[in-house]
Amino acid sequence: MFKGGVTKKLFYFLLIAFLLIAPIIITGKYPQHIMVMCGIWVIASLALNLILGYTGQLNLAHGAFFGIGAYGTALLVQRIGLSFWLALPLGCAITAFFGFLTGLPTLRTKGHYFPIATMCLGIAIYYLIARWDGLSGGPRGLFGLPRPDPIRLPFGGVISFESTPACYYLVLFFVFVTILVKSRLVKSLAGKKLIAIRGNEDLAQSVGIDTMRGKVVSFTISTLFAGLAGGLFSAYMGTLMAEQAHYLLSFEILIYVMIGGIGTMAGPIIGGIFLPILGEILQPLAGFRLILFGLLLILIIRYLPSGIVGGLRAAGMHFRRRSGAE
Amino acid sequence: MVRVKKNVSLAAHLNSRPLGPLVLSVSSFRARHFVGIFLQTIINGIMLGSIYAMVALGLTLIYGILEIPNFAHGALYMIGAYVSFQVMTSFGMPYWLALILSAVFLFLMGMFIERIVYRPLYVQPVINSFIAAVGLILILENGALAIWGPAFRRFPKASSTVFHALGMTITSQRIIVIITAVLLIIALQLFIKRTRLGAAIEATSQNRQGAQLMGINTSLVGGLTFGLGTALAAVAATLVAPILLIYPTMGGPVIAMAFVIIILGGMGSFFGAVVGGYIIGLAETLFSSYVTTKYIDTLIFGILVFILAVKPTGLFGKGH
Repeated sequence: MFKGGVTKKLFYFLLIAFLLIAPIIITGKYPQHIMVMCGIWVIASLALNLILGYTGQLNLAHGAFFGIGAYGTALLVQRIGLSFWLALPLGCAITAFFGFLTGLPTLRTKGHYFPIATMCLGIAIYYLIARWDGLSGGPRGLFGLPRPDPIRLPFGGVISFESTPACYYLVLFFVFVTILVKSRLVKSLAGKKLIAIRGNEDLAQSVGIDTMRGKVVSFTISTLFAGLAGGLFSAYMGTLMAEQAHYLLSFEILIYVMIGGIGTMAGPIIGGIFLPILGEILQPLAGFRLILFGLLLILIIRYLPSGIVGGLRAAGMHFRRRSGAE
Repeated sequence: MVRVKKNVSLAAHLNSRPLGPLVLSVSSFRARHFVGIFLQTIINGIMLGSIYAMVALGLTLIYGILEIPNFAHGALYMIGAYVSFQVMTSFGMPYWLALILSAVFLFLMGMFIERIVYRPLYVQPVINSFIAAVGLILILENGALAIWGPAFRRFPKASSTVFHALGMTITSQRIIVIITAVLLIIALQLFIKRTRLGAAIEATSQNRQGAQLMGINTSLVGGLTFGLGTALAAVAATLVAPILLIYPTMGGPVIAMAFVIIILGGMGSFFGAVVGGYIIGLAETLFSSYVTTKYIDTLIFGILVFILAVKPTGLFGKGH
């Protein structure tokens, strides 16, 4: 059905090969750090795209769920002394459970109410984390979090995660897991149901789709991966501040998804890689960086609502139609 | 028995709740006069409610006409406070003139934003207006941060008279807030019910296409309403600013509360926004002074979730 099947496969093969050898080519400590961060943002953006892009629900508490995953994992490691490999799935499970609990009442709402409810939820969670000194360290935050415990291989040898490239491979692994789970889900019948809900919720319901169930499942999975991104962030960075649950974080991830391309597989990946890099380049501008992002968001919404990927697709279609006609 | 004292300094400590200092000053006197403290809490609640009612009223007016929940309303509220602050400090303008100037400036700014950002999005899915609002918040909050810096700014005080009565300590600014808010709300209601433009606003909010067929320029009405709602936020911010400090993210908690209020009151309902504003204001102040100030946001959100779960269109709202 797609003519360029072989080139497409070759492209993906080369891309994956490049990602695997990237830390060998790019040796600087700072670029490697940015690569790890990009991976974390890609996971968070992919997660948001599931509920926003495929189910059509604008969740403005996404950053808060990222924060719950980060704090959950960090506290399980620091307070209870669990191994990171146990704390991470538990942290994700806690985040997903919380997502499920808050999703039940908020997803009942339709239209304008859901973004409002989640915005309030996001602010409430942020204040809870920022004020609960006993648990989260309050405004001081948590610090001195250990990197993931080394894995002992069965035939001797140890994989340690002290170096940045090791963390890069760890994050890359989870990026692939996220992409795999999401593409499986989107292509499945359940995914088609979600897209139907995005198209027209009432219509979807009238043809027998349990829209509430679909939305709750999508929301829960989305928060699970937001928690995963948060958990990886906490172990990689070693410090956590309440800002990691702030609503500005939700906005930033939203920008990655929107500019990359809402409702597409590649969009959040492109957005999650290029915008943080752009952000780093614009770092000397400090506050103007976010002003610029805000402007970019408004312009994208007005002139290119389907983002970079949507724009490229439209352009590709245009050229193909032209060459076909000639 | 009314004693008058001049120049009592503003409560210096402020936590990030918008009205933290009121609450702290209340609890430290608790042992002295239970009744006085209770009355003072009520007055503070009415004052907070007045601010909430004005912000929520602007939000609900805009929603009624344009069908967009303007997330950037809190950021515009913050800009309103800074504009007053700026004209008072750099031109030495009197408080009331600054209030009016700030309202006019924000009115124009609101009309401009409606025209440039929101109007082109009418034809697109609703979700896009939300996202544009997020862009607006980023621009406004970081713009304020770039111009005025992250520091808390103290407003030049408009009135420093303090009344002591029945064990209460009330600054005249609080009374000014309450009286101005009530007068403004009544004036707004009269404007909508008694003038031709007000009738056009009401007609547009009831049925946009019908209003258009009757020859109402709904685009213009939309712009004017947006300006009016924004000016109302600027007035609210300028009124409360001498009691609190101002900072670039001061709009966040207020806008969240305003959304809770208009959901409680039914989105687009004038009456709901006013009543909801006073209920939430009173509840928040009572809860903070008698229970705890710490987890109030979380509690109020809990109430919101409960309301949404029981009746997704709000307490006084009509179903869609």
